[in-house]
Amino acid sequence: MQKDIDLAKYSKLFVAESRENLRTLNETMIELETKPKDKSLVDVMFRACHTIKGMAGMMNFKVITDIAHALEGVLNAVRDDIVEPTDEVAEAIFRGLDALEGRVASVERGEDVEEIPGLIEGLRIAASAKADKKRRKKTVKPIAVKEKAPKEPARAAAVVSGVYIKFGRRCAFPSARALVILKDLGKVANIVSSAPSEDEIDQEHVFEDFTVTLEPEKGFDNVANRIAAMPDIDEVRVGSPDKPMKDWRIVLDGGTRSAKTTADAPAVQTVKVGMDKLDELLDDVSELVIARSRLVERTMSHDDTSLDEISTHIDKLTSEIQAKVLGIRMIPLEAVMARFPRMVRDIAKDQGKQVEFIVDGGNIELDRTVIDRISDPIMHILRNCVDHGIETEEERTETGKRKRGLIRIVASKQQDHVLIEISDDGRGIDYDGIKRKAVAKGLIAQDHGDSMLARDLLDLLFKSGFSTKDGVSEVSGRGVGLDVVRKNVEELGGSVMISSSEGAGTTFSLWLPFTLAIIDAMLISIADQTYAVPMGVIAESHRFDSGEIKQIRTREIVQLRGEVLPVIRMRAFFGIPEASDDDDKMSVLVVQSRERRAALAVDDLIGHQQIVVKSLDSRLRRVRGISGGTILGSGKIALILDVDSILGA
Amino acid sequence: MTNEQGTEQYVVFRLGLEEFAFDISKVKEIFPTQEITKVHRSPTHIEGVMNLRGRLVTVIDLRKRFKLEAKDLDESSRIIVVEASDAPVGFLVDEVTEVVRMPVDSVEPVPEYVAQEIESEYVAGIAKLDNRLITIIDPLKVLDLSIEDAGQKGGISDGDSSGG
Repeated sequence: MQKDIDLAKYSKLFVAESRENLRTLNETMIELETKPKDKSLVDVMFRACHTIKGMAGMMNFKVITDIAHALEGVLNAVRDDIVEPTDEVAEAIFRGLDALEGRVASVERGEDVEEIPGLIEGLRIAASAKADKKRRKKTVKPIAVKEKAPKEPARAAAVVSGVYIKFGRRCAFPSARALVILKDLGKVANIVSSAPSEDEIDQEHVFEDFTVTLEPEKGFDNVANRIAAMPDIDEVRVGSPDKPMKDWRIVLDGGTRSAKTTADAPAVQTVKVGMDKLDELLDDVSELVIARSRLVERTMSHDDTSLDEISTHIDKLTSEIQAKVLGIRMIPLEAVMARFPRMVRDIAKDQGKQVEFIVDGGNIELDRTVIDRISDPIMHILRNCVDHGIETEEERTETGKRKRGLIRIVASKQQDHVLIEISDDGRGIDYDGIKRKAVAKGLIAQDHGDSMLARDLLDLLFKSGFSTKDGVSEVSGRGVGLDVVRKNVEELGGSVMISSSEGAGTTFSLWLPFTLAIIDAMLISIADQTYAVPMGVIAESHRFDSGEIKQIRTREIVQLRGEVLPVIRMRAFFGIPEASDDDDKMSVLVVQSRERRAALAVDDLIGHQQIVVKSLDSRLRRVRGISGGTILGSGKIALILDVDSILGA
Repeated sequence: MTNEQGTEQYVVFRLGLEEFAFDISKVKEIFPTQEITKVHRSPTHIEGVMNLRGRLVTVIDLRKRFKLEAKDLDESSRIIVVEASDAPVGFLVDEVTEVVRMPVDSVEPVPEYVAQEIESEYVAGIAKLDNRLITIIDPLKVLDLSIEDAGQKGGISDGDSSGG
C-alpha cells in the first residue's frame, strides 16, 4: 500500500497545525514546570506532541518525527514519575520544542529539514535521567490518551476488521487527516482497502467519513483510541466488515464529542477569510463612509423628503456595516501574548533569575494592524524588564524582596484607547546612571543634566543609541531598542511612558488606539486649510479673549480654571504669518499627549466628524505636526495633526 | 501600442522655457491641476498632497526641485503621475506639450556642461528634435534623490516658540 503521495500541498496545513500544537506544548510546559505533579498537563502535551509526530510522519519529515518521538519519550518518563519535569528535564523539553519550532520553520520556507546533532540523545538522557531499573523503556509505545479512551478494553479479535471514521464539520482538510490516519493504521495493521481509496483521498474528493478494512496487528486498539483523540473527528467505530455498521463498537461517539465541543465554545459556524480580503473590504467601507458623507451633505441642500429618507437609511446602514467590518478585524491581545511567557522564562533562566509572569486583560480586542505592530515593542520591553529591571536572587534577598521577581502585563480599556502596562518589581531606574551615561555620550551637558527632571531623564532612554546597562548582554542593551519601541508605538498613533521608583520597580505604559482606520476627529481650519485633530487627544475646546493671553518670558500662556497652559500657535508652527483679522478672540483646542498639555491656537473650529485615516507616502511621513490625512465629503483633503510631535517640538 | 523598431515614446513637458521629457512607460496619468493641499514643514520641493481617487498622493514641484524660479499654477499647469516603488507620486509641471515618438539614437548622453547644472544622475539623456533640445529625465531617480534632500520649508525650529 505504500506509494508515493505528493504531500507538498499539505505542508501549509502541516505548518499551521504544528505551530498551534507547539504553542500548546510551550504554554503547558511552562505551567507544568510550576506544577510538576499535574499529570493532566502531561497528557495535554503528549497529545499535542503526538499530533505533530503523526503529521510529520505523514509528510515524511523524519527529523521532525524523530524529535517528536524522543519528546514523547521524555513525556512518558514524566508521566510515569521516572523523571521530574523541572530543571534539566524541563530544559531538555524546551530545547526539543525549540528544535521542532525551527524545523517547522524550515518546512515553511521550503528548506531541507536538518537534524540537530545530539538533540535526540539529549532527550533520551533526559527521559532516563533518574530512571530506575525496572521502568526504563527502550521503545516508546504510543499511549492512548486516557480521558478520551472508552472504558471497556475491547479486543481486536477479528482477523479482518473495519474502522469507520466520521470527520467533524470543522475539519478543514479531511483528505490530509485521512492520510494521517491511514498512515497511522498502516503501522499496526495491514490495510486491505479503504473507501474512499487512497487515490481518491489524494485527489481531494470531498467526503465526510471514511471506512478502512484492515487486518489488525498488535497495538491496533491504541491506534484506534488515538485516532479518536484527534481533533476534528466526530465518530470512530470498529467492527467486523460482515456486520452492519450500527453494530460496530463505538470508540468515539459523535454525540458525546459534539456535546463536549458545544460546552467548550458556542458552536457557531465559521468560515476562514484571508486577512487581505478583510483589508480590501475595509478599504471599500472607508470609501463608502466618505461617499455617505457626501450624499448626506448634498441631500441637505435639496428639499426632497423621499431623497432624505433614502439618505438617512443609507447613513444608518453605512454606520452599521462600518462597525461590523471593524469588529471583524478585531482580535484579542492574547494572539500576541501567547509567546511571551516562554520568552520571559527563557531569558530569566539564562540570567539565573527567577521570574513570575502574569498576564491580565488578554481578552481585550484590538485591530489586527495594531496587534501586528505592538508585538515587537512589548517583547522588547519585557526583555528590558528581565535584563535591567529584575535583580539577581542574591540582590533581591539582600534588599528584603522575595526571591522571585514579578513581571506583569495588564491590559485595560480606557475611553478610546487601550492601556497596556508592563511592570516589574525590580530595581527601578537608576537616574544618576542615566545622567552619567547621557553626559558621557554627549547627549546632554553636565550642568544641564543636574537640573533635569526625572521625566526628562526617562525621556533620554528613548533616544537612539542609549542603553544604561554596562556591557552588552545578549538580550537587550544593544543600544537599539527603546527608541524603536517608541517609534513603532507612535506610528500607530499611540504613546509610551515610563514611570519608575528606585528600588521598587518600573512600569512601561503603552497607550494604543483600538483601531487605526476610522477615528473621531475635530475639524479645524488654519490658513484656509482644513485639518483634523483626533478626539482622543482633545481635552476641550475654548475661546479666549486676546487679553487673556499672558506672556511668561518668551512663551505665551493662558489659564483655564487655574491651570496654566502653554499656547502653541499653529500658524507659527507651520510657518504661516499670523492672520491680521480684527477678531480679538482666539480659538483654542486644549490637547494632551503623554501627560503634556497645551492650548493649540487655530483659526476656526469647524466641527466633529468621523474620518477615515489615510497614510501619507514615505516622502511625507517624517514631516512634523502631521500624521496622515483624510478625504472630506467635499473631496478635499484634511491633514491630521500629530499632536504628540507638536507638543514635543 | 508597441514600440516601433528603434523608437521610444516620451511625454514632453515644459518648465519655463526649457523642455523636458519622461519615458512614457513611467507615466501613469496626467491631470490638469486640481486642488493641492499644502503640507507645511515638508521638504521644500514638495508642493503638497492631492486626492487621487481616494488616495493621498504626494505632489512634487519640479520647478522647485530643479531650483528654478517659483511660478503660480495656471490653466496649463499639469500633474504627471508616476508610479514609484511605494506609491504613485505627482510631478507638477508648467505644461505638457506633446507625446512624441523619437528614435532611440536621437537621444545622446548628457554633455559635461549640463551635468554640472542639474544632477546628472537623473538625466537619462538629451534628445534633439528638429531644432529643440529636450532633456530626458528619469522621474524615479528624481524621487530617490529627493528623499535625501532634507531642506524644510516654513515652521518653527525645535524648541523655539516665537518663529513665524
